[in-house]
This record gives sequence, C-alpha cells and structure tokens, in this order.
Amino acid sequence: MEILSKTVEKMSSYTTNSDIKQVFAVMENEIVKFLRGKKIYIYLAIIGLLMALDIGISLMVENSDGVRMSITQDGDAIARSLLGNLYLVLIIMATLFTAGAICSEFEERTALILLTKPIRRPTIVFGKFLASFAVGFATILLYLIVAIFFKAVGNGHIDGDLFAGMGVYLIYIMAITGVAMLVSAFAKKSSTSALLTLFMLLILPLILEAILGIKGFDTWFLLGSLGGAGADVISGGGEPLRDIAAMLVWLIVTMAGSIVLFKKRQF
Amino acid sequence: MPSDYPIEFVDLRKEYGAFTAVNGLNLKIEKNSFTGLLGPNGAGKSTSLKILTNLISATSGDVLINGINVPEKPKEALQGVGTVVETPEFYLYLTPRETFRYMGNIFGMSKERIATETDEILQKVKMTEWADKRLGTFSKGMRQRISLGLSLMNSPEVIILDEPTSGLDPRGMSEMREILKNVRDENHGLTVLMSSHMMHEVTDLCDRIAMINHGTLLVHDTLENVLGSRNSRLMKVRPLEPANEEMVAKLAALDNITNAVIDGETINLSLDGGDEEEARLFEQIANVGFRIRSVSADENALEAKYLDLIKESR
Repeated sequence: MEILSKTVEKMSSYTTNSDIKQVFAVMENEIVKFLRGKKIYIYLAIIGLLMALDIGISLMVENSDGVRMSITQDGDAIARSLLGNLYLVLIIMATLFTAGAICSEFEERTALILLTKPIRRPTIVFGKFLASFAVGFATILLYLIVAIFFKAVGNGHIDGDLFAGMGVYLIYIMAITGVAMLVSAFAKKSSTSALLTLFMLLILPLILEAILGIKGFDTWFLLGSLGGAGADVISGGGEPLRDIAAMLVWLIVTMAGSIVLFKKRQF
Repeated sequence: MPSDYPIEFVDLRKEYGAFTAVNGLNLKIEKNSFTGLLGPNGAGKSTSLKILTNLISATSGDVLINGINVPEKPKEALQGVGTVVETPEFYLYLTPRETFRYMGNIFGMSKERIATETDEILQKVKMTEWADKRLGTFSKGMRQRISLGLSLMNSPEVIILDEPTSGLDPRGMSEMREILKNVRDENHGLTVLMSSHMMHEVTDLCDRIAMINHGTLLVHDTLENVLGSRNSRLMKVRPLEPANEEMVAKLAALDNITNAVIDGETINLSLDGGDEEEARLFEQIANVGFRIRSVSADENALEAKYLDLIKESR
C-alpha cells in the first residue's frame, strides 16, 4: 500500500496537469480495492489452478504414442501451452475486476462522494482503465516468468518472439478492458455487468465465429480470434500488425462508448 | 470570477417523462448565508441539489456555482465546494485517513496539506480515534460525520448539504447539528445551502429560508422575515383516541384554523393569529365532539408557516 502510494506520488509529480494526477488517484484507489477485496484471491486461485492443470496434464498424461513430456526436453512446448491459455485468464481478469469498475460506484452509492468532487467523468474512466490494465500487466508478467523458466529449463533458448507475443497480449488487455468498461458504464449492477462481460468476451465471439465460419467469413477481427494473436506470435506466426490494429480499434471504440455512457449516466 | 450569489438556479427544469420534478426554479443563494431549503417530499429539493452537484442533468435551465455553469464545467465549478448528498456510502476498504487522502488527491492538494487538514477535520467531526480503522466497521452516524468532514476539505467557499441528518438516531442528529453549528460559527466566509425536513434544525442553523413545492420557489427570505410575515403558530392537539380524519375535519372547521394534519398521535393545526385567536381556540376545542388529552402551542413557528405555504401552493 505504502509502496503503491509512493509510486503514484512519484508518477504524479512528473506532470503538473491535475487531470493526470486525478487519473492516478483514481487508479490507486481502484488497485487498493482489488488488493483488499476477495476477488484477488479468487483470481489467484484460478491462475494457480489453470497453471497446475496445464503443467500437470502435460507432464503426467501420455500422448497417443504412449510418451510423456518432460520438463528438460519439452519445456518449450509446456511454455507454449501455458501461454496459449493466457487470453482466458485475461478475460477472467476483465470479468472479475473491470466489469464492476463504473457500475459499482452507482450500486454502492460511492458516486455520491466521487462525482460531486471536481473531477471529470472521463478522468474516472481512464483511472479505472489503468488499474485494470495494471492487474493484466502483472498477470502477463507472472506468465512470462513461468514461461521463461520452462523455456530456460527445456532448451535454454529464450527468443524474441516470446516478448513480442507478450507485447501483443498487453494490447489485447486494453481491448478487452475497453469492452468491460463499456459494459460497466451501461449495466446497473456489478453482477449483471460481470455476466455480460463474460458473454461479450467469451461466449458471443464463439457463437459469431461458428456462424460466420460456416458462411466462409474470416473472423480474425473478433475478440475471440484476437485472443490467440499473442500465442501465434510466440509460435512465430500470425499477422501481428493486422491484429494489433484491430485490437486498437476495439479499444478506441469501446473506451469512447464508455465515456459517452458514463457522462450521460444519472444518479 | 467571484459572485455575490455563490449558488444560482436559473429557470431550472427537470422532467422524468410526464412528471416534472423541478419546474422553472429561480433561486439565488446569498454569499455568507446559511440557507435552509425546505419543501415536502417530491418538492424537487434533492433533484435540484443533485443537478447542482453534477449527479444528474437538467432538462433545461442552468445551475451556477460562483458564476460557473456546473454541467458545462463541473471540474471548475465544484473546485471550492463541499457536498453531503443524501447518505453517501464510502469505499469501505479504506480508512477515514485514506479516504481523505484520496479526495485530497482529487482536489489536487499537496501531501502536507492533506495530512494537516485530515487531522484538523477529523478532530472537528470527533472521529480522530477512528482515523485508521476501515470504514466498513462504522455506524451510519459515524459515516455521516466522515461525510461532513469530507465536505470541509480544501477550505470550501460553498457547502451543499442534502438532508445531512436524515436516517440518524436522535443522538446522531444532535451531534451532526452541533458540528454544523461549529462549522457555521468558525467559517464566516462560508455559504451553505442545506435541504432538510426538520423545522427545528433549520430554525436552529439557518439565517435564510427558501421554500419550494412542485419544483417552484414559494418564498426566499431571511428566517426573521419568513416568520414575521404572518402572525401564525402551530398548535399540537393530542386526542385521547387515535387521531382520525373525522377529528381533523372537525378541528379544521374551527375559527382561524388554516390547516390540520395528522402527525402520529397528534393533530397539527395551523392557527392564523396571535394570543387572542389561541384563547378562542381553547374555548372552541372543549366542545369539538371528541376527548382531548392536551393542546399545546409549538415553539417552532416555522412549521406552521411551512404548512401554510405548502397548503396555499397546492
């Protein structure tokens, strides 16, 4: 908490613009909310479970040829498998943390304090967006460390694609956080917002991809497909520039929508 | 630019579908005044204050703080403003000290000033010993005191209070009133606009009164002028049997009674007149047709005036 405050204070001191200081103040409060709430434990438990399942199944279950993976020989494959599921963890992050960001201020009546202060509503949106991004960034860092471990133990080779792929995941966080913010600016209750966010980020893309796939459409621009863009880059494939451009479009459109909806929202 | 009227409502209108909550409200609050905003439920008090504090938008018209249009420039308009709107909830994972730091950062205050003001204000609202405990464990009264404390941050020129003692127990109300009195007496450059249902609270704290009903202004003047503009008083009649509409009708028919309403076990009568008319009421009430335990004149003349004005505006 103290370290966080000092960091925020230091970052704030780099600018004289009060809007930016307010963004950091909102971000700090939002991160404190995450850290002191129960959701952070749920989130960490989910991450732990997914990692354990992924690594455990890779090491303990034989493949069709009756061969088991080993850390020393197959570390690279295990790392790729882990990172392939990272987008799901990030969607869970957006559902748990971002989905309640705006609507909780109304639901819990804290808007009566915050919105009556000299602060513009877009500033609040950006502060909350950055807080969610920070949690996503920490998640990616955690996955990066684990992936580096397996790669280092496995073949001792850590290539640039790994870091490039993580960069793509960072932009993916922005896109899905934007969607979650948009839902949060619209929904009345945090629980509704969480369900809608999960639907928008996971279920709807699956349905659309299935329907459009039958019709022969390429659905690369949907968030479901874009979730795999980071893993594609790590594997040395994909079209990162095209995918990043699509993610940025998602980010801009959803953030603009969040701000418009939040500005119109009445207490 | 400094204004003689730190708070201005200009032709303010707010509609919710077919219902008009605020109907062309024009009101200017004088500098350095403590103005009580009175009106029955649904009169438009809270709606007007919510528009003033940027919580909701108006259908038409303007609200200005220190000459700055609030919906157009909320950040600039609310810079020197403290607010307590309804009973706000807090970030329950924070302590009062952390809450003050968060809001101080929103105000753009320095770290040192936040620390100094936090200590001073917590002392003022008698919450010093609770400064580092999480707000989730606080009672409603304690949270309301913190809320009032927050409204004092950043040395405000204007404070807007929307029923600040609402929902508190009698002790909580009394404590809040004491704190408000201290705030009023210690800050001579302060302009306060406070909505309330409590007539004695308004009489006790306010030097000016603004009464509204159906979203329009009925009267706006000094407390003395409002009370002195008509010689009226509130009589409280307590029947032996539970008060009912038949009793109200009989009492309303007596001489000089302008209004009669049931208020729990008593029937409140607005008596138009002075001592002579009060004596005449005592003569008549003996033969009213039902048994009465007590009749007393309420010290709070504002309530009688309020009931009169509300009745006239129907």
